[in-house]
Amino acid sequence: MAKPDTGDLRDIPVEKIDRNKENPRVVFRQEELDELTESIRNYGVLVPVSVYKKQGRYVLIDGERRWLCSLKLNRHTIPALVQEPPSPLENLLLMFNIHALREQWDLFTIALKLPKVIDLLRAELQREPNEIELSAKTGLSRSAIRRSRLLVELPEKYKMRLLEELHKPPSQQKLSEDFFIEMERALKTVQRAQPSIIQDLNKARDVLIEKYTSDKIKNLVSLRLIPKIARAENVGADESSAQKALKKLFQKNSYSAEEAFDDTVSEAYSEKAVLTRIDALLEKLDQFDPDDLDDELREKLRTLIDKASRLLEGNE
Amino acid sequence: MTFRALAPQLHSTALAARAYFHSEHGATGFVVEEAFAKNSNYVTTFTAKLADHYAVCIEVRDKAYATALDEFVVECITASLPVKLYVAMPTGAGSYKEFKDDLLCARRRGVGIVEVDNAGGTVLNPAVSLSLAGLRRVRPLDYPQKIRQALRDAENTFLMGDPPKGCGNVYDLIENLTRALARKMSTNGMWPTAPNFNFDADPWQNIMDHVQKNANFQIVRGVCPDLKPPLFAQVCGIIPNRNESGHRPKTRAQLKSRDEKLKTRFETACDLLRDLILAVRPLRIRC
Repeated sequence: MAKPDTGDLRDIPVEKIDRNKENPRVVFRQEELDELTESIRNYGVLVPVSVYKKQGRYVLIDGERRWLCSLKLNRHTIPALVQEPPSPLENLLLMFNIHALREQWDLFTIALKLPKVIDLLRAELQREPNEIELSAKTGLSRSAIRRSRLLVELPEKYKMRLLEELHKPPSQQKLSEDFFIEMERALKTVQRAQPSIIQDLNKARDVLIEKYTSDKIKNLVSLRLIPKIARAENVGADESSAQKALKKLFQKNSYSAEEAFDDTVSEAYSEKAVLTRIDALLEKLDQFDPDDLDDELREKLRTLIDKASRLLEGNE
Repeated sequence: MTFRALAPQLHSTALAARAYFHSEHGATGFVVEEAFAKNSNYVTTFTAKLADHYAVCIEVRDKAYATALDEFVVECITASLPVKLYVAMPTGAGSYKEFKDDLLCARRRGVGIVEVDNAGGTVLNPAVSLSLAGLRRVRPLDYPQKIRQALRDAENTFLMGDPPKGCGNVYDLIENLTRALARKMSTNGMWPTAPNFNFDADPWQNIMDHVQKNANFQIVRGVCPDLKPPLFAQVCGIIPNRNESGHRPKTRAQLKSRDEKLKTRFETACDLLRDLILAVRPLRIRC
């Protein structure tokens, strides 16, 4: 792989530089560019861009924003490290490593280029690269790769919608990458656990997007309730009422994920949570000798016995 | 049309802006992402020519203004460049929180804002030629209430596309005042040798020349201490400008030179009007 530290540092004409078509970064927010423009206007380009030579011109490896701002400022030259031309895979991976390790990219921009990395790696390895290999090559965590895959598998119209949102400042984004990731996770779980519920996946997506943008689904945590409803059987809840609730949830109405959860599996999950805690408590109590108990603990245990007894008597 | 610096999501807005400025403003000769002048400190999305030799620079953005444009505005004002700078943004993009602040910012700097889409465009703030934008603004409180509106209108006319007429409007105010002054001086014995002028219709130049040469400034000084010969000399000095027929500039260089001249004339005329009003106040002349 071409190494950034072996580059030849020189001032090169801004006009002779072309953007790298493989640059995964496609979103440049205006505010960020404006800030950088002001900085370059005042202090110049302090960190050289990285380029390689191609047919008498230069192709960017790193520094697209600095180059864009220099173009806007009508600067004639820019300091650059001129490197050896990389192979297509090196070209992609170099940028992944430079950017992913140095600054926070929008995950979606990474997701869009990940299939190409996988293709090139497949060709090189003569087999499907696994997640560990992808992680090692790109410098991305395995969870980032998994999340990227969810985004890249989105249908085109949702990708466009997300891209539109990403061009806005984060505070103005109605739909985030996290929303799409949570939504896809929820829908995948529903499809696996309740295959008959979703007939038209895009319609279900549209409904969830509409409910989220109109605050009927209040936050991303609410989306995590949907898989729990789909797995009603796991907690011994009534599966048919869960199915009815899910069907209602995936229709255009004001029915929220919270309501669906409360109507179906809320109690079952509460019970499960109590059971888990009781198991943990019992296990912990086994570790105590009667002599170890202080007054406060004794008092709490008595309260626990009283409450449990009252509950059990009431049940009988 | 290839954009290098413009963000991809704004390409369609840029094309809409180009179509709008071509059809609605008659702009031609569009150049994409090239500096207006060789050493200009900012490169806008488009530069084009207008029929009146002004250049129009169009910056396509998703917001109405950014301080990144300030230096460019200052450069154009300082060099009196006959450029109208517009920010073109997508229709509906003005719904963000700081839009009002940005609009105000653009207005103060003479930068136009237009919303465009495939159906056309809407000007939210008209651009002022930056060769004129550095005009020293009229301070209304320096003038009597009765003429403040007229002065404001003259300033707007000057800035919004007809600087000769804007200047002419201020000259009109000076002419009205000085004709009335001459009449008063002839009846008050300050100008004993005054011919039988028709103060409303005789040539302004003739009247002013005669006052300047023949008024009794010793008497004048007793009534209006600030009404001195140099003030009349200044009035006589602007009359040729007042009468100058407005030849349309044929080149951008002529336009630049004309705008520079008119800016100075407008400011000088406003100052002269203010000084005259102060000087003739004891005579209680109606403006």
